[in-house]
Amino acid sequence: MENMTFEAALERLDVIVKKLEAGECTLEESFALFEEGTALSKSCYSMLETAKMKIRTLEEEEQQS
Amino acid sequence: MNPIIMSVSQLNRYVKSLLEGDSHLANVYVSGEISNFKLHSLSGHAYFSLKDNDSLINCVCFRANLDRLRFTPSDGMTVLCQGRISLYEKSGNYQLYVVSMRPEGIGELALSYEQLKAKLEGEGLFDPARKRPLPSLPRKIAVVTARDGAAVRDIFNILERRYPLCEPILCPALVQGADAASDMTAVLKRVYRLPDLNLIILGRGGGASEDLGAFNDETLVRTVAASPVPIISAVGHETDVTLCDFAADFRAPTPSAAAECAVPDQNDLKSFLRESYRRLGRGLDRKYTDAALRFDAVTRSGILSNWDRVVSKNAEKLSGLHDGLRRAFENNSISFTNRLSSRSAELDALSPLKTLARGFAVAEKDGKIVRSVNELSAEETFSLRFADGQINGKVI
Repeated sequence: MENMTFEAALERLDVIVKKLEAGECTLEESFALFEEGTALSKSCYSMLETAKMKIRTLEEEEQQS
Repeated sequence: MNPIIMSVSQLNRYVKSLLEGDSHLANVYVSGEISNFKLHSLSGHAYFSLKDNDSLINCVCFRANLDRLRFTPSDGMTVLCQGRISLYEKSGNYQLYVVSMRPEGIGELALSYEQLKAKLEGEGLFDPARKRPLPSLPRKIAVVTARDGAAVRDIFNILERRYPLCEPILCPALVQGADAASDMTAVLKRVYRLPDLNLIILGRGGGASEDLGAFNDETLVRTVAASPVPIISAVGHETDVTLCDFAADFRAPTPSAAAECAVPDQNDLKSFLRESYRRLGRGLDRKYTDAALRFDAVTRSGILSNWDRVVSKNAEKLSGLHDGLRRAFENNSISFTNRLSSRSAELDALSPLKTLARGFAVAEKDGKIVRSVNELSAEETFSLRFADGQINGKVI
């Protein structure tokens, strides 16, 4: 999860919430989902909180790619 | 081929069908000077001629279309008429049936605009089916606009306020003047080669309508239509719609509005995250309550109702087990609580923790949850599962 992008984390969180709510997992799986989901939502939240928008120019972007 | 003998009516009808069968004549734009303008008092239809230096064509504009005009046509006025060509059978006159008309104050420019618009429209470039939805969480956003000016500042301010995770790329381009169209086209083509690009905003601030001419350039419009990723056109006029606006996936009335549409609002995302958190809590709570109910049922049944007796009866064997069990139970609850509450203060309010604090375990036999007392008989072994492991027991 460390290297997960915000987009991927948010998508995964959505999947987890729906899965847990469906109630079809075992208790053990539910715990794991809960743990993963809460960690994801917290990490997404802090990504938003700490993000500093970086502006690059087209030239910089071209040189990098 | 034998000559065909036909009546005048038949001939007129035949020529009329030829005219009406021609797709070019079904929608034409004709520029000319109005002469002999007559408003028929009874029907409200207007009859007039359009002429240039050498020729003349009869025109009719029916009342419904005439009423929609924002100006009153009169003799001597140069206008651009849009309509269809047909033939009036009674007189055998072919004429232009005018659907819309605009004064030719802006002359050539408007004519070329309308012609190009009709041409590109005919090619399907503005087809609504071509419009792609904007990405919900765009990361790389190319902003093609003038390097300096209010537009670019507005866009970046709004992007940062709403969604600081996005990575805008400033792509400076000339947005007005003779070289603007070719410069923007060149910049767009460079932008199209960038990897991992999610969205493009093409825009400029307000300005006189003549200054928007670049955004009606055929090459630029075609380049916009060919964008590999969704593109928002924000040319900066509520009223003037440029051909780039038609070709883009999305038209924003101003650059600020484009930035608003481009990214989600982080406040909404945070609400979503908080709500997800709550839903996770509720989901687990339900699951836990189910398991707890099953455990209670087992306890009530008497099988596990008297731990002390179990312990004293098998003191040597089980006293350690009992303590261990209790410790495991408490440690488990505590460590679980710590782990979860450290994630967020909000979590403390969640009911699963309260459930956890009450302390529950799940009885399992052969790897399956024991759902009923009937699943266990005397002397049968089973295990109690905690979050950090399991422990074995025996029914007495």
